[in-house]
Amino acid sequence: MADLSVTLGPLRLKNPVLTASGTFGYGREYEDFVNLNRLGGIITKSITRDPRAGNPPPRITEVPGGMLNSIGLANVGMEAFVREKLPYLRNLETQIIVNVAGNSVEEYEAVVSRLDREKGIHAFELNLSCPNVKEGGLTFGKSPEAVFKIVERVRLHTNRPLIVKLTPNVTAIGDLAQAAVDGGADILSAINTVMGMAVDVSARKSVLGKMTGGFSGPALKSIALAKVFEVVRRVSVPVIGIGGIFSAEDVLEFLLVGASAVQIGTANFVDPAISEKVVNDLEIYCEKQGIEDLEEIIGKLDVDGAGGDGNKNRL
Amino acid sequence: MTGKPGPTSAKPVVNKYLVMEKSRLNETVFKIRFLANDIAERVLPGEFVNVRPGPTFDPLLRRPFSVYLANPEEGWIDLLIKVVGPGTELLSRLEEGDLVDILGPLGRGFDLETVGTAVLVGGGIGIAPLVFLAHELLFLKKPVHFFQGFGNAGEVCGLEDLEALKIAPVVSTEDGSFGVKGLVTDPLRDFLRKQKDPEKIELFCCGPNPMLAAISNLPDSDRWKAQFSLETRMACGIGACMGCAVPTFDGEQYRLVCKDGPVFKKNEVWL
Ligand SMILES: Cc1cc2nc3c(=O)[nH]c(=O)nc-3n(C[C@H](O)[C@H](O)[C@H](O)COP(=O)(O)OP(=O)(O)OC[C@H]3O[C@@H](n4cnc5c(N)ncnc54)[C@H](O)[C@@H]3O)c2cc1C
Ligand SMILES: Cc1cc2nc3c(=O)[nH]c(=O)nc-3n(C[C@H](O)[C@H](O)[C@H](O)COP(=O)(O)O)c2cc1C
Ligand code: FES
Repeated sequence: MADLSVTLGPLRLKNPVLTASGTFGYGREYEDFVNLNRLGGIITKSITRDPRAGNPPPRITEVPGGMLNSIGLANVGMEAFVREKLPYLRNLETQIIVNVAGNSVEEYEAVVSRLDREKGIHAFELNLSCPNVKEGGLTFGKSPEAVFKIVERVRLHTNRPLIVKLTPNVTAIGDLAQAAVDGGADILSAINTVMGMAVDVSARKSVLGKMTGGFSGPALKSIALAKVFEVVRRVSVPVIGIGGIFSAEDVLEFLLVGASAVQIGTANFVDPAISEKVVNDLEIYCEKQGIEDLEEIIGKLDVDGAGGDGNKNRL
Repeated sequence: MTGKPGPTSAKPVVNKYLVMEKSRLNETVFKIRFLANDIAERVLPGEFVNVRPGPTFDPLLRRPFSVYLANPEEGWIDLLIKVVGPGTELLSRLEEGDLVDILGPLGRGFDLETVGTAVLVGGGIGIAPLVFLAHELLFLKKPVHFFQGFGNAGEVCGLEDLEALKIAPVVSTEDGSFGVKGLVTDPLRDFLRKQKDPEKIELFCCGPNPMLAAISNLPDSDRWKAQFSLETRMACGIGACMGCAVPTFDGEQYRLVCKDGPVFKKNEVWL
């Protein structure tokens, strides 16, 4: 049996397949479809200090190549999470990563310092795609200064692995990656959704209740691959690839580009059993290819003489 | 108030199921029968299934459909599918022998704990969960009254299946081309007005939102009970994405149609 385990700095996963925040509930929603213990890890819905009801509907709509969502971080809040959700997660034999969100630096600090007192959380992932209320609603994750500050402050509250999730809605994702690492991030994850919009012509309104939303799904993969490629070239910490992953083949693309692990998002809606299937298919792939340790292929993209058909490029 | 109308059935399953037969009921509505033992034996009236329209990424997300009829002995379920867009268009082209990826049964169906006299009210394709419900109510030996509205004669569907149950629905069409002219709420209002014991009445409604809102605004609506089956856009269907939220009656919170519903009691959600 091939070794699928991967090591991301301080975080060790039994395989590189994680489920993405907001697409896997609090894990239990998928227990009828997936042997959760087969996963590399589970990332929770974004948790905030207080419970959040979320945005007005409609919150989702399908668009070519994927979907838009404006859920608005609807979640139970940190205390209810600890009380109602964590006991179940803690009993699983997989890595539990809590995704954290907030509207101020203090809120991120409050959530992480509260959850850091709890057993059974193996890492934190910071969702920085939230409006900073104090700074006039500008998204934290869009300015390197804000990213540095928030990561530096949160870092003071935990020694557990800290993952910073990057938004693609910026000009230079590499600068954000660098700022997160400077602030003390152990691992980066990329990408969050791309901002998008859908219009109902007959009603002359936006389809979503909140005007714009986040685009995710199959068409995100090529964008995400390019962003991950950019980030791994810029920083030396491990990177988790996210975006449009629906198969083991998709996972391998991200690993080749340099991601050390991946997250499966929208695909969980299309097939609730897909995360475990991808793990199984990775095993089969390694078996067939005679790969003993999946980590061997991380970053093994052949970049000499660029891409495409090698011979033609040489002409 | 907690969202807890009907019972929740056993665990859902996701599997590929065989199309046994397909028939066309009118210009846009198809009835498709699937061999789905494990769903048929556990689904309850008002619950739904989430169906993948095709094997590719276009369309991508599953589409929710109420179960129209279920036969646990013969192991099949029927869905009534109205073509309104790309997903339902693809499903309408299914042929006998095709395999379809179905997830279900999902959601909370109708609560039959306290029903006295049942009054079923459907609008258009909203007839779908009510036919299954009518079956169950007859089995429970409850009196059933059925009001069903359509836009016009061309949209009429499902009446033969009610006839087979010996239920004679009051049918209305907006243009009067079939049955009574007008909205379904017109004959319903007259019927309710004549009831001596409105406290014994429970309405079970499924249809477009404006219809549901009109029903909940009928005179004396505080005297009878009512349950409403709602539609929203969905992604996961299992309470994971928080995409299918509808506001509660007080407008303070949200409920998930796929998990807390699709059936809600009167004054539980904002219609
Ligand atoms: C619990 C539940 C049970 C259902 N049962 C049935 C059933 O038994 N039979 C049946 O035919 N249909 C049923 N529906 C509706 C069915 O799911 C949709 O018609 C279907 O998803 C449309 O898919 P499509 O790809 O064909 O069209 P889409 O392209 O997805 O939609 C077609 C048009 O309808 C609009 N639309 C889609 N969904 C909604 C919505 N929720 N609210 C407002 N506008 C919307 C779109 O914007 C578009 O204009 C049910 C829905 C729910 C939630
Ligand atoms: C419905 C939905 C809800 C999401 N909620 C969150 C969230 O709460 N926090 C977060 O960091 N990312 C959230 N995301 C983003 C995903 O975690 C992921 O980054 C993105 O969907 C891209 O991956 P995909 O194409 O595989 O879906 C959400 C995505 C979707 C589709
Ligand atoms: S459709 Fe995902 S929570 Fe209801």
